This record gives sequence, C-alpha cells and structure tokens, in this order.
Amino acid sequence: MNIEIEKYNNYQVIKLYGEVDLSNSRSIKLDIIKLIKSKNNIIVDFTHLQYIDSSGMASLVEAFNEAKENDTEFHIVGANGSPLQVLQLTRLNTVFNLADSVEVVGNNG
Amino acid sequence: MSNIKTFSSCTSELKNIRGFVVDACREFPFSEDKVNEIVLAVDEACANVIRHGYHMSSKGCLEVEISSGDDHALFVIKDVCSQITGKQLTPPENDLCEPGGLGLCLIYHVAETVRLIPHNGKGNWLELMMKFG
Repeated sequence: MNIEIEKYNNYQVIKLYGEVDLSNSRSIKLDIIKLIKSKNNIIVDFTHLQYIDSSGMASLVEAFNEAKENDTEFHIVGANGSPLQVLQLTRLNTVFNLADSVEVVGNNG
Repeated sequence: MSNIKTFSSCTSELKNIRGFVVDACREFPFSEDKVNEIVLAVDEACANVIRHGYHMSSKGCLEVEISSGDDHALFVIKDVCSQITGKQLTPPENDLCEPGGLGLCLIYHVAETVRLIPHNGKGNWLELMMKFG
C-alpha cells in the first residue's frame, strides 16, 4: 500500500495505491483526518486502488464525517473494479460524493 | 476434495489469504465480479477473527478450507478463539451498511448462507456458501 498526497487547485488529493485492509486502514485514516483538521478540501483518488475492505471504508466514513464537522469538502474519485463493488455492496456510493476524476472535482470546486 | 491452508493471525497475512482464495476460485465457475466478492467476504470473516477473536494479536492462527459441491463452493474459516454465539453473527436489520457492522453486512450480502458449524474441538468454524453462476 502506498499513499501520495499532492495539491490540485483548492484540494489536497490523496492517491491510494495497492490494497487497503485491516493492516493499514488506521494509518490512512489518521493521514486524511490530519489534512481535514487543517481545513483542507479532500479528494481521495481510487484510480490505482486494487482492493479495500470494510475497515478501509469505515476509515473513509470517519474522515467524511470529520470533513462535515470541519465544513470542508470530501470526494472520492476514480473508483473501479473491486473497490467500486465494495462501495455498491455497502451502498456507501449513496453516501459519498463520487466523481470520475480529480479534474472533474478540482476544476469545478 | 478440499484445499486447506493455515495462516497466522497477523494482519499482514490477510493479503496472503486473499491470494489463496483467488487461486482456489479459479478452479470454480465464478465470474470475475463474484470472485472479487468472495475474496472480500472471506477477508472480512478472517479480519473479524483477528480483530475480535485474537484482539489483534499475531500469535493466533486461522485455517481456511475451500471445497465444492455440484452447484456451490464452501469456504470454512476455522480459529481457536473463544466460541462465539449465533447472536454475534446476526445479520444487519436494514439494507444500508453502517460503520461498526460493515464487515458482517458484506459477508451476508455476498454469501448464500452463513453458519457456524458445530464441532467438538476448540474455537469456531464459520462456513460461507457461494453458489456457482
């Protein structure tokens, strides 16, 4: 699992690579919440994410709720394959703000 | 005929468990989407054992046994933790999965049946049945 963070317009983009599971979901959550507490708008990029389990999704729900409390934006982009199936199975696709790409969100925010 | 492998309860083993399940599923007539779902369900069951059964200790072990019948495959996750009750495996009441019960919710969404297999030994044997097609 790798994570890259870069700025795109008014957003901090968190690019997830590889697999998110119980072994690493907590550290990812802490990284994202730290950015939110600094009042950053967040885009989590799933484009290169191959797998995410319920602990990863629960971490993102916590981050999403933290963003609401801090009045910042929280988006997920590029979901495909197994991670998209998990979003659909859990119906979290109806909770999160989903978009196709960083550009779609970043150029309209 | 069954395929059995034992893993430690270290969270880093989850990746190896997923690989074991993917390889086994290649022998069965499952679609790629269904394989993704099965991998997820077995991973969630094993993660629950590590988190709630072994309390994140890496000193325990899990055994994953995969077998098949005419129209289905069985995935049995065996541990040597304190025995759980059927009540702890109660499926979520509403359709929307919520944090805290997401893993169990996913298992019930994916598996045709989820049951604890009675046995004489220590621990729990959780069986997930997946139909072909």
